[in-house]
Amino acid sequence: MAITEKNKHNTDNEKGLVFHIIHGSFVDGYGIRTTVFLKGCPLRCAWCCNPEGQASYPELKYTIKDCNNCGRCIDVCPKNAIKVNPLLEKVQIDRKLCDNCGACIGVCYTGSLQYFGTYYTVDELFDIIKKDEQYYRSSGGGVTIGGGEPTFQPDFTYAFMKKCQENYIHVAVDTCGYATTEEQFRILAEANLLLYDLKSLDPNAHTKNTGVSNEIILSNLKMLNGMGKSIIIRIPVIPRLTVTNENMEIIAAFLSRLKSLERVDLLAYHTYGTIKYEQLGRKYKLSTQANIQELTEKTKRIFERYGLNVQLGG
Amino acid sequence: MVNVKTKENRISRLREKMLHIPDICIQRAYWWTKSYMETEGEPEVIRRAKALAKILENLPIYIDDDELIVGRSTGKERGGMLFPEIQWEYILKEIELFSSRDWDRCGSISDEEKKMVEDTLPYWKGKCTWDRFNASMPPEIRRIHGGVFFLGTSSMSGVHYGHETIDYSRLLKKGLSGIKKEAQEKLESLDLTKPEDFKKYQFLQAVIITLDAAAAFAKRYADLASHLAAQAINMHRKKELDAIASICRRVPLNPAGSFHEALQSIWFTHIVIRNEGWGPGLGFGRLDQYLYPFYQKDLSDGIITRDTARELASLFLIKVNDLAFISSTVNIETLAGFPTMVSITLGGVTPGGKDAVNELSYLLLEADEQVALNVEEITIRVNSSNSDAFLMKALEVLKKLRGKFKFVSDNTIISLLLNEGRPVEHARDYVLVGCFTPAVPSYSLDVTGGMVNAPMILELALNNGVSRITGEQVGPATGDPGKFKSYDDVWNAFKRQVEFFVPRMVTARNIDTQLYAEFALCPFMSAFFKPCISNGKDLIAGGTAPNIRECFGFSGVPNVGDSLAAVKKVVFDDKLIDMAGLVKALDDNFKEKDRLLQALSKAPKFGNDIDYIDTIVNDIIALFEAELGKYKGLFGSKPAVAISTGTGHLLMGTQVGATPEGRKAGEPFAEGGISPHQGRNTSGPTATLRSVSKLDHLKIRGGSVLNMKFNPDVFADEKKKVKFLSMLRTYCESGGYHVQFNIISGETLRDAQKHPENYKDLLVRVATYSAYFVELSPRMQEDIIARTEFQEV
Ligand code: SF4
Ligand code: SF4
Repeated sequence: MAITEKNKHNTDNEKGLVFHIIHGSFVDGYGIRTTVFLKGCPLRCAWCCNPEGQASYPELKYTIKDCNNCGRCIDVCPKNAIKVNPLLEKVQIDRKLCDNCGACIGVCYTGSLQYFGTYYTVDELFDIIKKDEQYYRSSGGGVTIGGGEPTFQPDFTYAFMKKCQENYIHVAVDTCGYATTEEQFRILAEANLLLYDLKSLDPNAHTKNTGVSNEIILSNLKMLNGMGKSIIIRIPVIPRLTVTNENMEIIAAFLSRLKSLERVDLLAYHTYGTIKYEQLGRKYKLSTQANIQELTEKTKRIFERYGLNVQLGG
Repeated sequence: MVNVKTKENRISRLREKMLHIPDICIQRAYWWTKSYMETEGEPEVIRRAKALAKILENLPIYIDDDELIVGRSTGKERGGMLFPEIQWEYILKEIELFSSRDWDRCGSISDEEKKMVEDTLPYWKGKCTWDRFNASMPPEIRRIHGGVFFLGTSSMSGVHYGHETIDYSRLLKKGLSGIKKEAQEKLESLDLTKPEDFKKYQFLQAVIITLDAAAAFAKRYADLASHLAAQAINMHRKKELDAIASICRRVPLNPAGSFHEALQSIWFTHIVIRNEGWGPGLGFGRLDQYLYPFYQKDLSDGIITRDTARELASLFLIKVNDLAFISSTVNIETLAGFPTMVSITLGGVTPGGKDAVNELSYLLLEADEQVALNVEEITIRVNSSNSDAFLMKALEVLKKLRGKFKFVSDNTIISLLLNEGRPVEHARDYVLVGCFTPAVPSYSLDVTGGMVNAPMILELALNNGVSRITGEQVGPATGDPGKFKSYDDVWNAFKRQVEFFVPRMVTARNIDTQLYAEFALCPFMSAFFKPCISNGKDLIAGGTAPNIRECFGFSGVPNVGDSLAAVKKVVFDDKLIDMAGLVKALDDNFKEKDRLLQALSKAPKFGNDIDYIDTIVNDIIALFEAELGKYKGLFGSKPAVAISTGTGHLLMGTQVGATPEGRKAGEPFAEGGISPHQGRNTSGPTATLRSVSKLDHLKIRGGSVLNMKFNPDVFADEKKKVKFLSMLRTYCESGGYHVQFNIISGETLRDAQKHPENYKDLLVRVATYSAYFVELSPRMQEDIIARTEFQEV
């Protein structure tokens, strides 16, 4: 499925689809980093806070508060996907009809309609990140390729990573670990640092919450560990779904056996992504009443008992 | 009830007193004028000296029960000093309004005080420098005043320059008596048959009068302390008062013998300098350097402990807050908030090039952590030889004070000063004066040149010399902008406007400088500038030439850059519209031109590390520098570019119509100076820092201001703090000049909720996820506000 989706839109294989770049990030690895977010991901986590990183094609972003209801977009939409919502005095987009052609973006002068996702060649993207080189040097930082899932655009990501490394720039790859092909795996094998997301050890729960089984993810992790890669494990703390009172110790025991593990980051559940769901015309379904701070801190205590180096936040 | 006075509440009580609104003090204005009435016909420099002596004899003096360092700058607790010899009329007209105006309000004055002012101030009619300035200003130059050239002169600001730092180490080593001896020797060596020596003779006489007056002023305090000691019931306080009395008898007359004496000596001297001729920005320079020998000696002699030294330092920092910059209602629009700005510079290297950070550098940071008032302005020099421990300490205090300190790059500033031709030992010994200008204590004089409304110059280029707001022909006709065929045409029109205005600004500046050199002399302050005594010449009359800079502060430079980039991109690269269409849209303030407005707004903006626009900003700076470089100021001084705006970006914005960057008529310009326009730098902190550090700061000899806003989250843990530090160091070591931070508070976030348009760039982040605060739902905003405040507790 993923391959067809990619081929359908990414006609130019030389280019990578990026949805965000941050210059000067204090998280996402060691030192000061430039984080590049690549679009497209094989997983569909229920708690995903970057929903615009999931699909591997540019998607229409509609920020309703900026719309002045001028109606220009309605006239140009070839799919008749846009209508006025008389109650809100704003337009509304029927996402079932919309095929993200972008025709409406060109006529929207308020900036209310835009794309999530911009294509860059390897050289273009490299020129952008290279500007921060002095900051990497002084802080022991570098580039972090995240997403979405970086291995989902394997050729581009590999070429970009190599270009950085040839120029002595440290590359961290933030991955879900779901690498099924040789091309995808070599990205993980050759990154300088892996930020490896671990959602669940239980295959059924994993499939239920993310849409794919964790079999490949865990076997990749074991292989990378065997290769002695620098790994930071990142665990989203989502009550009931990822970390529970019952499985904490099991996860801790599993992690404590990974020799090349440098640190475990616990990322507490939050709902900051809600606005982006709205901009995509989607709903953020997950909600929880649980005390997340308590759960996160408890997890930290248990993990530390297993000798793990734990950090809250990434 | 026994009044228990612990150290802590001594500091907090005195600190509390600096937090009430300032009171106008008319004493200086009154006695200065009285003296002038009595000295008609005498040489001007002698009149100034006698006027100062008169004030110091008559200024009401007071010692607070909690004080260990004594002396008040005015007759009030937190007083506003008046300088009628610069401007008198606004004082008479506005004296009653000071307590009721919209902002920068002061306490009201008594009827008696009002009468004293009314009886004396009219003396200055036609005599104050502002009146003289207006009388000598050619009409065609006067026209640019308040428009392109705002607050063009010091006369108009109603104060003295204030952008200089005396040689405090010389004061501490020699005392007033030692300096008097030097002046006397010089005086005796003069040959009065030579006309030029006769001028020197008058100056040196004036120096001696003021040095004696300063010593007598300290003696008044010594007597008061003795008197209070004799009456004191509390034995502990009696002892303190006796000590104060004996310190005031020794300093500043004699060399300082202890840390306490050194602080008292520099404070008394500073009070005298203030009364002689104060301007905002007058500071203390490298406090951690020249006080260090005293600190070290007292510590090893067991006279002080680290704690008692810190208490004294805190009391000193509170003391400097006893003056507030009072100005006319017109002026406070560009410098709102009583910006007294006593600059103190810490860190950096010694004149010999070694790491200058010492125990006192840390101690002063700790003292300010406790004091944290608005007048003491601490600048931290960032040098690669300064330890991480020191800079981390600064960041820790910075976090607590939500971003109070300024940071400047030693690399950039030392190169800048060397490039100006200063000796390397002087360059390494620099301090900041005013808000952001590098100066060498004992050698430099910076003449504040006023603020330039740079976007207005662009407007004139894009409107054939006519202001869009007033419809007046302000600049030269540089051609119908609708017919411009290339970006070069636009640039050349802008260049021709600049070529028109710069010489006029220099002329206005020179008239003012000449008037100050005649009528605003400061013989007392001059005594602490090495070249002044040896040249026998007052500082204000060019005693330290050629180390004189006239700084012209250009406002809205990022806006001019963004505008030119937008014209280049939208009109000439993308050809979305022609020049005639663009000009029409500007005339119409973009009415029904949403599409054009969006295209212009989307053009590359300064602050995102995009060379397309950043090089244009650099071109603008180079143009200003080259134009100013064609002219010379008085005493052969070299006019310099500064990039700053005070709070004037709001007022100046109201004077300019729509601009091509996508800004509508009347909207403000970029704040700070070189800070990217509010909300336009959306690519992360290093992108902003790089946009600024890639500019040629050696051409901005007067300095520039970069403000950055950070969420306190960036200081959440030690690791992040280390990252912040390396970011700061990299900026400073890669060509940056100055930066200061707002570590944003819940309060500001509340404001962001009310005015989201001003906070587009505020990031909140969790792990790999980032969101703009203003894009979050109100509920989520509440969540984050709560979190932030929690962190601050
Ligand atoms: S992007 Fe969607 S809504 Fe916009 S014009 Fe194309 S189909 Fe219509
Ligand atoms: S063009 Fe833009 S502003 Fe106009 S109705 Fe469509 S979305 Fe709203």
